[in-house]
Amino acid sequence: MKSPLVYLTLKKLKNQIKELVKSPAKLIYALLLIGIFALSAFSADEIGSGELRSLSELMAILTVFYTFMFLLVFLNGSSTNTPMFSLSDVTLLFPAPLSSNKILFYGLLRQLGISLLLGFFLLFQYSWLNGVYGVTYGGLLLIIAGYAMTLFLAQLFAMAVYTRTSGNDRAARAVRLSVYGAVILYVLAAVFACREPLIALLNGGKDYFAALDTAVHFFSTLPGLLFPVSGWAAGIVGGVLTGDSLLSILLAAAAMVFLALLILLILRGRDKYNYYEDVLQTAETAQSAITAKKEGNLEVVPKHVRVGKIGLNRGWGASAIYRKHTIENRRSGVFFLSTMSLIFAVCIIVASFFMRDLEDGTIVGIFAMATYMQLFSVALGRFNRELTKPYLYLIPEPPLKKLLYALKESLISDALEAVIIFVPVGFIVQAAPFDVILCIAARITFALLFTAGNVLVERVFGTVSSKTLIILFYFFALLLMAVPGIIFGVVLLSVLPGFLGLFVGMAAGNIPIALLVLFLCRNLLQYAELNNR
Amino acid sequence: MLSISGVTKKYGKTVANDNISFAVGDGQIGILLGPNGAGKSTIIKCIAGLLRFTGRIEINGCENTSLEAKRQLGYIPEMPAVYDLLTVSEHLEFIRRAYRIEDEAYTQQLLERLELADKRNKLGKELSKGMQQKLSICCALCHRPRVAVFDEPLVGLDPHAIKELKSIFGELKNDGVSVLISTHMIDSVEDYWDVANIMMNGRFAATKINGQDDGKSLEELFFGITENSPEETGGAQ
Repeated sequence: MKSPLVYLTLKKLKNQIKELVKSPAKLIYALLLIGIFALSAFSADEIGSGELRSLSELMAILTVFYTFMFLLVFLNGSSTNTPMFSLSDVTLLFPAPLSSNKILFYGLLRQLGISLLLGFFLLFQYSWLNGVYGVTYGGLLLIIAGYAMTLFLAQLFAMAVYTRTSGNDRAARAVRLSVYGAVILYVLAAVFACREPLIALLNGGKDYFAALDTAVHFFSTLPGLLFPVSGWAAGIVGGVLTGDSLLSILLAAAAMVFLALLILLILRGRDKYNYYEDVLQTAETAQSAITAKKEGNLEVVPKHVRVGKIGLNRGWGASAIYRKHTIENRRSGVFFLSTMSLIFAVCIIVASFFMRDLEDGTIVGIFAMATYMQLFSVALGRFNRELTKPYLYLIPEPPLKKLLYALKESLISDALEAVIIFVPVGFIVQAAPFDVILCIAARITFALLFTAGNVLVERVFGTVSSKTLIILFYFFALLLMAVPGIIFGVVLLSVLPGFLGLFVGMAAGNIPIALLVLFLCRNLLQYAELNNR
Repeated sequence: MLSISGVTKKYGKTVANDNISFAVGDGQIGILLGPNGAGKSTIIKCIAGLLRFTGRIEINGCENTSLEAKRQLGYIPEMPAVYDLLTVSEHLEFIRRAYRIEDEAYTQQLLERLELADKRNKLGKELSKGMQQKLSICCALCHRPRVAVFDEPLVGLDPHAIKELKSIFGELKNDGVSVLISTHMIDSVEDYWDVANIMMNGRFAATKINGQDDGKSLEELFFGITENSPEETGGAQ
């Protein structure tokens, strides 16, 4: 008879594949992803005509990216989003007469699979990775494997620490402080390595690139690659890509030793503290997150919230909705921006460093990338979260008034976000101030357009219960709505000087379309369709 | 007065509510009973204006999606509707301001009765499921609705809150409010209903008026219907 764990693993895998074939929405989604990947691969040939940049730069990017992810997963408290065991594993497997070592191995295998899946989005980076650094398909798979390895070991590390320190607050704090200490040391080492160009900059020098080049050197060579797991993963990938086998082998060995150590720590800790207890809480948290997601609750609430001043104190009728949003924003993020918006802003600003050398039109390229990311940040805005609660529909105020007050906070945040992104980007790529202002204005019009797109999707496809289909409709609707603005922009580009035409054209297309959609959907808040929320 | 006439709600090909008509008069407590999936929550959401449907729903003579109807409606959802980042007192302040209610006294009274007064500065996310449910009830009642619809209101509540809520039902009834409660816990409603509607497969299988002696208790009637085949029970009134 097959082991129950083997049976469970194979059955789940088989059912997932069957589900994909049975569910048209998921199949369309899978086909679309393949299509986007194919498009990304195809467009790589277009980009790949220029001179390739140094692979050290890619290694440095990977080191920083992997380290960021490693710390995020580790410090997030034992990976609550993707735990090693689901709640059904916890309730069905743990009490069963099965070896806890075998269950742990099952959990590790499951976790590895999830980590690999999480790296799937990296597939879509193929076009620029190939065009800028000459990364092949094999190289891309290696980058994904490095990413998966980082996440996997970060989660295992978190679990090992939890197992060994549970019930001992001082030990848990000591480990946490040690990790913070290691990060501070690492950053100090990076700053020390870049001290000369940095001092020159502090003394009024303008050679930003020298500082950046030194940083690239630090993060792509051995002292910089020694940061546990993330540095090793970047080193293994970079070693293979640059043909430095010794580096790859050494760092892979370090990773293997680390893995063995973690498993030992978890298993040895079992006598004193059963790991079952440790994963129970994360499994429960993850389950409630899944339930909340199914109910349409998109709010990602920080663990520790500083309540601050209590009370709305202002707002009457529909305007109370806006006052409520400002309080929620104050407690959920930094100033008017959510954590997600801040991460996106940092990503765009960092990317602008690497795109600064591109010839004419750098700011347009960055704008396009920022707009792509904006698709996601707008979808995660407070307005969409508000739609999942009944109060917005129940409040006895005219629907259009409620809609405008519910959108007010999102639009203010989006405008602020545009300034926060494009002012530093403008400095980095040395764009003309007028172009920066145009970018900010155009981004605000896209925010309006995407918000209107959200409203449209809720209004038209609110009855569709498949979340995947709704996301597909959302992207399709947004693309369709953005087309007139892009056409106007391209037409005016040849008429007006610089990029003035492009941005003015986009704004001229976006604003009327967005306002028209909002007007047509003004009754959204009168008739909802909260069927599965 | 809550009046529902010929309401049909479909999800794709599935008929969740099939041509449902009933009314709950002023000062009456109506209950909706039925097994899981009978369509109770769907009709409650239709009444609250959260779902589109065909047919007509009126709250004190006004169409349920009109502002006048919304002003007079209190809705307690099955899953507590609480904002994670607002404190208990801010939830109630938000509802009062949104409904343009000046009077704070009733809100305070509700908080005291449901033992939330000492939690007024706690965030929504810090409350247990039961406390969230209590807060949801306070939010729905603080504007003194004339029609109150409760979707499984007793689930997750502690004995004190259940006792208090039952007493609130009685007070609402005495104040002339039309109360509709959906539940699948027959024991919990045995003592205070005026009219009971038993739902099966999206339709009303039976309606019973409290005090009318037809030889069967509500429980007997319920199991008589729900434990027979759908063909025998569907659409019976």
